Amino acid sequence: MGRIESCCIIDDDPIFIYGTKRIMKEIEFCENIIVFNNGQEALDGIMEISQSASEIPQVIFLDLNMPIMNGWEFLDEFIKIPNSNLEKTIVYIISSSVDPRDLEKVKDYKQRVNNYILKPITPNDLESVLGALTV
Amino acid sequence: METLSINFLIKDSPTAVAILDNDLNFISHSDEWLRQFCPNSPKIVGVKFTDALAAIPSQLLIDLENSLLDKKSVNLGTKFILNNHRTVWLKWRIKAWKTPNDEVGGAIIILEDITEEQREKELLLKAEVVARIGGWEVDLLKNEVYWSAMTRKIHEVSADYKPDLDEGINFYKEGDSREKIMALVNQALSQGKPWDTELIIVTAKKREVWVRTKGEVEFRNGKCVRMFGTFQDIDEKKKAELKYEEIAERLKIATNTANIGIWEYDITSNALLWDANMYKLYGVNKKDFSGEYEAWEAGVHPEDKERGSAEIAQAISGEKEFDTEFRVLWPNGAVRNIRAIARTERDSNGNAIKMIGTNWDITELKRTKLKLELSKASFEETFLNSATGMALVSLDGKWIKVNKRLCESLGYSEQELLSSTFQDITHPDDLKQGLPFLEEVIAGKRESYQLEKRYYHKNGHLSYALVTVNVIRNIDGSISHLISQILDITSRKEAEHELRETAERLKVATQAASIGIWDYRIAENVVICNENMYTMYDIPRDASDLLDAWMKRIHPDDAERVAEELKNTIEEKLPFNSQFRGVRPNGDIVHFVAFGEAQTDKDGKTFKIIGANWDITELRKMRLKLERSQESFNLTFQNSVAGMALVGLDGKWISVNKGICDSFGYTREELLDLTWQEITHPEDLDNDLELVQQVLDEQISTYQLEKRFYHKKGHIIYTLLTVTAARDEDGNLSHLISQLLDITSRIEAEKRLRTLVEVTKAQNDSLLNFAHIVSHNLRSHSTNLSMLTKFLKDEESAEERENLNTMLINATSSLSETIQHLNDVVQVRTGALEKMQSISLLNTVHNIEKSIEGLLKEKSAITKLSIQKSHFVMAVPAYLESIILNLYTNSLKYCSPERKPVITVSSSSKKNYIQIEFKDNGQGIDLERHGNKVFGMYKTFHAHKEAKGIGLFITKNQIESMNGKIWLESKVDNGTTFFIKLKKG
Repeated sequence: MGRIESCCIIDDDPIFIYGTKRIMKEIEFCENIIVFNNGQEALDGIMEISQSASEIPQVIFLDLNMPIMNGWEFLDEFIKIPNSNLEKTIVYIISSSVDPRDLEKVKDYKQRVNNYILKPITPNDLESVLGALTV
Repeated sequence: METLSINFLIKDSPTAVAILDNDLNFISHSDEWLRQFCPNSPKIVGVKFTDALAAIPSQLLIDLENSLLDKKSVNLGTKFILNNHRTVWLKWRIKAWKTPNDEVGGAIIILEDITEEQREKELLLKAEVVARIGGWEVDLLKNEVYWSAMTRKIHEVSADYKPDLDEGINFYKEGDSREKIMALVNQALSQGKPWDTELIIVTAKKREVWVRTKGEVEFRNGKCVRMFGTFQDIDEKKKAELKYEEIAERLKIATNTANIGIWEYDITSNALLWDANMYKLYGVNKKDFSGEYEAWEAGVHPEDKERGSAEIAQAISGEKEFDTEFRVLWPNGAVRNIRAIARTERDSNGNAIKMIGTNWDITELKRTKLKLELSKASFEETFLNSATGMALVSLDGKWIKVNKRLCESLGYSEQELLSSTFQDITHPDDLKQGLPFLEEVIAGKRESYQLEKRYYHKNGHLSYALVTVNVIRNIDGSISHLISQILDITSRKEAEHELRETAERLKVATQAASIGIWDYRIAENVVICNENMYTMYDIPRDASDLLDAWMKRIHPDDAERVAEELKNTIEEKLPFNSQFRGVRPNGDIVHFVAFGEAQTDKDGKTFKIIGANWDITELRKMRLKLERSQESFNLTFQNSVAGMALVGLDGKWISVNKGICDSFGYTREELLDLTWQEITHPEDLDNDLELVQQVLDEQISTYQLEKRFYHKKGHIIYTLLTVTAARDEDGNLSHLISQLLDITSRIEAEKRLRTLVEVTKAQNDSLLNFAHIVSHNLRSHSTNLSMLTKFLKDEESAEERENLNTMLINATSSLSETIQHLNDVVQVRTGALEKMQSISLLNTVHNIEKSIEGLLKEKSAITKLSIQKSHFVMAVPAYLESIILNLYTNSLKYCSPERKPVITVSSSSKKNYIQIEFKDNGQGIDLERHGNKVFGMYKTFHAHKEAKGIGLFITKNQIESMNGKIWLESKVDNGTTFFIKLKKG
């Protein structure tokens, strides 16, 4: 039994997805994990979810470097989706990038992005995500 | 029975009847009796007469007693005052009735109360007396005249006077009154017409009295038998009336003449009554006037209406009597001024009931008043503001009034002046001067005089004034006061004085300036000259022939010319204007300038020349020095390497040197035809103009700025411009000196340096980018690896461990692939330039096509080449191959699934470059979304499993390392065109 209903991982690296899912399972992070391999796929998927009656993910873990549509572009489009329920969704950026320009850019999205987590994700990271959620 | 029937008869009798017995008890009575005399006793039969009636006059009782003795008594009406104080008139008839035995059985009484009729009569009589009305009657049958007492009284005749008809007529005053009455009487007698008129009678006591006489006639059988009427004394009333009429008439005449309108306003009924004048005053016709208060208001000028109405209201409320002025606006538009006064009448409670007032036209009065004021004001104005000093002076010399100008020229304030006399400030020597004139004026011999006199200014100095005195007389001809006009001529006096001083000064000046003045009298052949001439020419003071001595001092080379010029002046009257050299006895050469003018006599013959000359030796020396300095400046100017120009204050070149012409590529003539503004770079123009303006405004005298000009050939010349203001001898700005230093080469060097810095910076940036990419990619692999190993360590399920192992292997191969990519990139970035050589573009493309023949076939691709054989590019062969290969494989990899791939490669020559166009009809790239990342490392734009995001990154790096450029155009689902520029080989 997960502690939150559903979350979403947007990343093109299958190994990372595998690892993250595994850690989530260990700490019983959530009931339902949705995976998208790039920004475009995620955007289309989330649009579909928001239009249907399905549960909107409470947390999104977003990679930055992805083909077709990267994390930043996804954020730009995601903000524009007209669904007030999505506003409750918390976005975490998860990246290997230590480029200060990326860290700086997060500030431009601080309305929407909760935090920047450097890969690899750890159980502790997920615990604090949960902590932030329950508060 | 008989008695009974009598009783019945009595009962219904219309008169008050009673039957009494011998004891005076009621036997019977009529109802009327009961009603009139015993209203409170319903039953009186058997009651004693004296008991039944409340109050009985004693005469009635006596008559009743007498009747019982069979004496008849009749009373036809007597006034009684009863013991209850009531006044009654009673009328009665009393008779005894007899029994069949002929004995007196009692009395029958008929009683009548005639109080009311009598009272009326009495009052009428009284009224006649009070109103002084008398009656008269003429019995024409008997020719008897009856006059009532009042009538006699009016005629002031004795009570027993008996008039006849003629006498009666004769009482009327002779003339109008008598004629009128006779006519009226005749008319009445003949036509039966009554009269009612007011006439004068002359009483017996010879007094004239106004009477109102009324009369009418009575006819019987067509014959006039009787005339009767009244006579009323109306003298007082009539006289009052007449007096009123007289006064009213007089008032009418008066008001008519004076155009005074009279009005009466009945406040309660709002009725406004106007006399004829009022209509005239308001310019309205009587028929147009409604006779209401509002009709008056309508005539009042709109601007005065509110006030007028308020004043009426105040008059009605009793605050203030109506006494005002207002304007009326005539229907024809004329405006008149009206003065109005009114009195308000009040009832016993103090409420206003009526206003009676007058209006009269004061327009003329106003106008005259205004004119007077204007004339006064204009005199005042003239007086006060005159540029000439003016004063009103009383005969004893006291200032009555002074104007501003006078105060100014004398230096006193108005108050100070008014508290003094004109004698106080007049110079004592000039005091007496005016007296004879003044006497003449007083004697009436003259109306004005003029003299020059001196006044003391407040600060003590003398003011000269031209004084004009006019006399103002009273209506009776006596002198009221004097008007003095005091023209300050101090400045004129001073000018006169100054002229004298100037002459003196000139003398001093000529001496000081070493100007020699000479006067050559031709006829006498003599020269008179001032002191300076001797000194200047070093001529002995005692020289006998000055002309000769002077001529001798003139330099021999100039002497002849000067003599000629002098001759011309004498004969042609040309101005003498010469420069010559003088030789001093010690051999010094002195330079002179001489001017002279011919003076002619009345025949036009020159009789003398007056002239001046002075030593210009020093001046010449200075001038020479200046010329030399200018010359040296000119030399510098012309030969300076730096560009130099003299620029006029209007912006036009005055002069330009060779340096500037060389810098701009123009000839001197071409440049002088242009203004500096025309060849200035437009972005630098304003800045320069502003600085020039500051120089012209004398805020700065020099400035320096870097600015750009256009060379004749069109390119930009960078200069350092220094501008300095130049002044003429008087210190005024005359022109600007511009110095131009051509710094184009320096600026270009700077530009090159800047480009270099930019390139370096770009390279640095890309290196930094690269470093971050490397770190990101390596990190992602390493974190994956560490994560997988950690899982592997803890994993117990064999199946899962196998899975993890597979992943671990994939991760390591990914890592090695990444490292391979990085190696490629690093290789591109190091030492590419050394290996560059000229390569045939066409050959290279052919080779690549050949190497991917299989792939092209597999995809059924069509390739079109349009490359000139002559197109050689400078490139590293391996790079060029790699670039072309990459573009081919990309086109094939991302071809459209709906179309056969068509690839077109073409080239064109541009200056030093060859431009290659590589066009396909594939999926295209959304440049709006990905434009900035097309050439980024690890950027992919298609969901293609082979997309690695490294090919274009390396391609771009390769091209740039060969100093080339790559860009693209693309349309989604249409195709992509890459453009590559490489240096010509």
